[in-house]
Amino acid sequence: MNARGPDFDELVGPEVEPRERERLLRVHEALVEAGPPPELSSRLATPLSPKVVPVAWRRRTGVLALAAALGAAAFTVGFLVSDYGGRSTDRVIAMSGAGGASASLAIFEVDDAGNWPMELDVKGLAPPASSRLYQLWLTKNGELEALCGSFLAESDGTTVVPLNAPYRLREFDGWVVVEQGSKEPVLTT
Amino acid sequence: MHRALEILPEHERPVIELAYWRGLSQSEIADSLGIPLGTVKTRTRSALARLAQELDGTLE
Repeated sequence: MNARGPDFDELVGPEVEPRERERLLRVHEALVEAGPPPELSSRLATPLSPKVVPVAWRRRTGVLALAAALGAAAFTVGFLVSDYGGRSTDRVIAMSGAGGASASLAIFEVDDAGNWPMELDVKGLAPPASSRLYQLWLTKNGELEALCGSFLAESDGTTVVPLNAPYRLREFDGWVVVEQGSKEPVLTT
Repeated sequence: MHRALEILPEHERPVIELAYWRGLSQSEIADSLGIPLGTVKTRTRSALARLAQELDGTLE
């Protein structure tokens, strides 16, 4: 990249029709001129390392205050972009909770309809009270916002379960697992 | 332009951000995101075309 931004020819390649090329070039120049948006994606807010893009998820007060108090070390979050069992992942979210509970949420490439297929691998969950289900939620500003599915765990607190998030993920700022009917997270980012 | 970026799908926006505002080459973006170089190029062209459509009439 230079002062005029990335190499346009490298970006679009040689096979673009002249008229389309002209159109894309205007966008390219506008992007260079505009510079980064003030709220540049948090994925870019910290230095990149190969295949790992850390992100600092915002933690808010309210129902997630208890989770925040469990300590920053227990809430390590990362976008790990890698191949995952032969499927192409968009990112992998690390989750953790009290008593050594942890989870890895692999989010696969979004489909054409806007679904984000996912696989949640949990370990060490305590048995839920009164045989309730666990639920995975997207959160925003410390509140449960969008349900992404329910699941059960084995007696030792482990399971691997497919889930789905039919939402625009950038509109949310975290993930939590709660017991059905509860707002207290047992796992969080 | 910044508002127009909001219309990009989740899988296209990072390639634009990394190319334009982190200065990564297409190969470096492929490495960083763990996707093939061809996918980076496809997503970049698609994102630029999507932005062009969104901004049609304003960039003349």
